Amino acid sequence: MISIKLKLWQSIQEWVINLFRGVTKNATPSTPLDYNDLAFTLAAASEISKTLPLVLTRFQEQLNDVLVEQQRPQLFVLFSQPSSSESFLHHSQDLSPSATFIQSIHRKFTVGRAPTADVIDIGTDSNSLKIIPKRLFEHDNQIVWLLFAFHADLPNPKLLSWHSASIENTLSKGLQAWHQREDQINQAIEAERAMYAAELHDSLAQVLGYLRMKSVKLDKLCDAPEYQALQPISKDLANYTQCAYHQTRELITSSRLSMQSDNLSHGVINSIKEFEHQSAIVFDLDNRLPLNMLTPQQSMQMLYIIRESLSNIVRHSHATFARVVLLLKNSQRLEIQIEDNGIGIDPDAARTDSFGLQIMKERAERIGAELTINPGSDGGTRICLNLTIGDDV
Amino acid sequence: MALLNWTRKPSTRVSDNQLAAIVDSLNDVVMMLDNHHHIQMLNRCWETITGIPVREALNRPFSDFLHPEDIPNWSKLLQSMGPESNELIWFRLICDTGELRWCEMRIQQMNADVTSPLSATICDITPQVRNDQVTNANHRSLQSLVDRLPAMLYRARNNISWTMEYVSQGCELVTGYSAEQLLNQSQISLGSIIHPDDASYVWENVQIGLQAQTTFDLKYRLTKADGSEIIVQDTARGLYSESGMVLGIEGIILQCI
Repeated sequence: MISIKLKLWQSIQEWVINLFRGVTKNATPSTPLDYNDLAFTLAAASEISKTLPLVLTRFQEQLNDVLVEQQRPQLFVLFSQPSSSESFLHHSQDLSPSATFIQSIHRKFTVGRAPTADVIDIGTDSNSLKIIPKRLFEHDNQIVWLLFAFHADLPNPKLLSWHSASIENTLSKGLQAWHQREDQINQAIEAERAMYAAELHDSLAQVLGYLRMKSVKLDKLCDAPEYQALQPISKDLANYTQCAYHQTRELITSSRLSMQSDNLSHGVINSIKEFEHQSAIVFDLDNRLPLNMLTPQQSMQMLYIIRESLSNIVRHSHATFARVVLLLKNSQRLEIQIEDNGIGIDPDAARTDSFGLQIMKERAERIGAELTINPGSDGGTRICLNLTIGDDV
Repeated sequence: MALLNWTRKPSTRVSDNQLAAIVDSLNDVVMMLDNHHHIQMLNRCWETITGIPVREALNRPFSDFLHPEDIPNWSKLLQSMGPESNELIWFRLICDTGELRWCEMRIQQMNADVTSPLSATICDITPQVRNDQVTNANHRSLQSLVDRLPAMLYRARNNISWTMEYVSQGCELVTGYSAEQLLNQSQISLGSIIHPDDASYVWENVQIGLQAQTTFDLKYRLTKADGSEIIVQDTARGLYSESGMVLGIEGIILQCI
């Protein structure tokens, strides 16, 4: 009985598909899509920006097979994040949407309120498009949309629903599973990093802290005339122990930083909040950077340098005001300024800090950035970090 | 324009030049935006605030001069504009030097029937924002300092329960109870965790101290949230009105080691 029903169902589906094929030009039979297989491909994607276009290409080919040319939509999947004003538009491989179209989509779906209309008009340079949006799901402040874009007349809604239902279902299942998997991976990475940071903090950092105190004491004892010959060694020992201690603290901070945030702006905001609670200094953040323009490695090194600068301001500057400016000097050059109105850096007096400054410079070099430290325009200190964008590490 | 027409005497004729001079003399920016939200008219104050010549700003989208982080709010405001709207928004303008000026804008439709043009005034509130930032930083710093102290700072009412009007976060370290639990006896009072044998001693000595208007130091036992018993040092003094009436008690409680 069951097999009869199944057979009947398949034959109706084939009949309908063949019916539409009958009215399309160059209709050639193609292998039917395995939706479960495509959903699994999405769920297991290591780089969704490469996998999703491949899947969309398959769906696009299927729609092209069954719909007449005037009624064929272009398929897009939009990851919209209104909270950070970010849009990621994915499309099949044979499409190349114009910048105007992408901007219009960003304005309509991410900048403004999420559209509720069944059909949305998008005017581009050359022509206008009608968009039928399908809200697939929402995950962690990100709304995922499936968009059908039509150049000409809209097809019969029932006909579109007939063809889009499986596509919606597959994308929804696959992408939700992908999001869940990404969350799990990120949680696992964070847990691992937290464990190492805690381990480092409780073991090596404590021992080095003790060694640091003892080596400084030893160095002071060697000031006595009878131990003068030992002094070069004791000084070296004290300096290198201090450096090792500083680097270990820095490693702990780095692992916490990478846990804190994926992008530079959020990391800087969190860091400023943290330092605000340790002092009465007014911190001003002027962030003019578009989001996600740096690699995670660049973001983390930049964030470390900013944090080290903020830490120096709180500890040594005597400042009442500090400003962090993140901006694009031009399309190629990113500049970060950290300025305070404190007493300025005395190069001869800052022995303890010299490790901090040295590590800051090393970190800047690691990502191909240039670090300069100068007196501020109104006294205090001005740290400038310049990075040419596109130079990957 | 309508307002100026309405306020002038019927016999007085205000020329266009005079009108422009009045608008230019204002210490706020006066602006008109067209249906694409491009700047159509600006007075001289714009140049004073931003350093950008008026002619360079005309016919450009107003959002060109906004800090990128403030543009989403600006777009939302424009979308919400209606015939009766008189909206207020704060944003940062980017000056010709790259510096930022905090501004407050009031914006409305010029005609109730049509969505454009829009008229707006912009007031430079940078000094006010800076003052607020300094006040907030001082408050934040003091609050953090008080909350991090390994002690319980408090202001209490002079009653047998020692009802807390204020208590610092350090109370959790000392007593095991959170500040929220102790405030206004919402869940528990200080009086109820003082050892019963010490309660009378505490009450009597505080009253003696208040009478003499002196600082009083007391040592007594407290039962912590986990049931353990500790000895604490309480140093406090009274709060008095000008007439000498006791308004409350302020002090600090530390655990004796």
